[in-house]
Amino acid sequence: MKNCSFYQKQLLVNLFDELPVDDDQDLQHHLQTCETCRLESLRLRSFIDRLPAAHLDSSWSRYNRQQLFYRLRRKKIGKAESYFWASTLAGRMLRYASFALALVLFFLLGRTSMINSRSLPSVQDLMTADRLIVTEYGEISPHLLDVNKININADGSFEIVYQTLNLVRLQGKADDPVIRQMINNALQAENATVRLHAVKAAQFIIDDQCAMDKKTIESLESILENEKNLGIKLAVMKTFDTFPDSPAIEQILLRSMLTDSSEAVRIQAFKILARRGALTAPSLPMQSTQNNNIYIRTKVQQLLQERDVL
Amino acid sequence: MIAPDENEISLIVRAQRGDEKAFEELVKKHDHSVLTFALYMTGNRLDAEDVYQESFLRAFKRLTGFRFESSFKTWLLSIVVRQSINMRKKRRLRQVLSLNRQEEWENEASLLCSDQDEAEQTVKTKEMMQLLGKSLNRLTDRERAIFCLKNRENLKIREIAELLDCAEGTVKNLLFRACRKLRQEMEPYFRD
Repeated sequence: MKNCSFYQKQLLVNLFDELPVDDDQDLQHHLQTCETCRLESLRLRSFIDRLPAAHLDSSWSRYNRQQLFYRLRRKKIGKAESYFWASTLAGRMLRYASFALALVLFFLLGRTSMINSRSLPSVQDLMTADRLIVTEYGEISPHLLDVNKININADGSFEIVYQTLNLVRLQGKADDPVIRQMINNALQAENATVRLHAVKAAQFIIDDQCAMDKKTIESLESILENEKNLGIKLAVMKTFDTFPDSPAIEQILLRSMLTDSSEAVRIQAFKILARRGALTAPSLPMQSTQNNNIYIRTKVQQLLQERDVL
Repeated sequence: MIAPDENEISLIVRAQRGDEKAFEELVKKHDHSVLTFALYMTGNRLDAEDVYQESFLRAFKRLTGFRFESSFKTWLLSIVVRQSINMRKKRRLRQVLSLNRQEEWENEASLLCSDQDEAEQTVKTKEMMQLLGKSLNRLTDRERAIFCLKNRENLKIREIAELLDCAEGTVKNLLFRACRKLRQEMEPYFRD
């Protein structure tokens, strides 16, 4: 049902001569019967007719045109896209061909520069290198974040999985200095499993080569002093057990026997020293009386009695 | 759609091929209505000048994209509408930031002159323009654009719908609403 509100909207469209013929006839019919809409129509026409139709001051218009032409001529904007390039088939084909050519050139230049700069490691090399990178300026160590795992292979070689920014798998023989360095790093790793792996690796190296560098021994000693994990400490003791007789190792073992907080470690140290005959006479009476472990005290007393008998 | 005349087609094609003289001819042909329309849309002399400059520069850059699917003037006005709406948005933000709203159309009416030469009529027209400008300020951007495109530029409702990318019914409704608001503002003055 069409009401006055509908026709009043039509009035405006009609006023601009855009009402279809049928709608116009319908509207005219309504206007003949409806006084309100007829008055509204007159008022609306009067309003539209009385709206001011003014023109701009031509000097303002001219000033702005001059400004615009000045900007266009000074090429303050980029040159308009050429008709040839944008609108013709040949232009578009040439545009695509030149783009493809530029891409190929870029690729070739990139390859050449890669070949030329081979003496310098790329960021990728630094992140993923499995050992020291030798450059003309010297050796660069890959940035080590953490050792994840150490495997000892059947052929006696090591596989060290470690983290730089990526995960790296490093393989090498026990005498490889990089492998030694990585094991040393792993002895100080945060992860207890990794530390245990490193201790076992050190033990394997000592077993195999009957020698160990000073730095590794210091790291093992540091573990004995600071480690809270008993399993790791005992593994260190086992590593020292495989080590050939050495005054330095005996000093470490003796200190552990006397001062270590764990009885198991103290007993283990005692056993190793006893097996090596490294318990010197002056220290034995002290052990028999002062050691707070009853096993050690008893064993020391037994040793003293055996000596007296002999 | 009003088809562009042969001369205008020739100018557009030459301008598309990079002929700046041809583009300047197009500017001369349309700049008066663009500037007036920009003034109606922005209600501010400085903004109208900016809109005018930016619209023509944009038209120059994008001229190769003009495919003669509408009249050149409609295409040009669609750029002016977008520029004007963007300008008003920036202006509203500036006003919010500065908390210093300038009264518009106080001086702008002086840029306009009547068709009639009589001094008395000119004064009256300027007062009317001032009133119209203030009343236009109370419309939304789309209402103002539709009213100006219809009343000033005499575009068809279908052309306005294409230009603003909306339905013809929406244009009719917004035009009706714009007229109703303007009448509320201006009719008391007309009665005098």
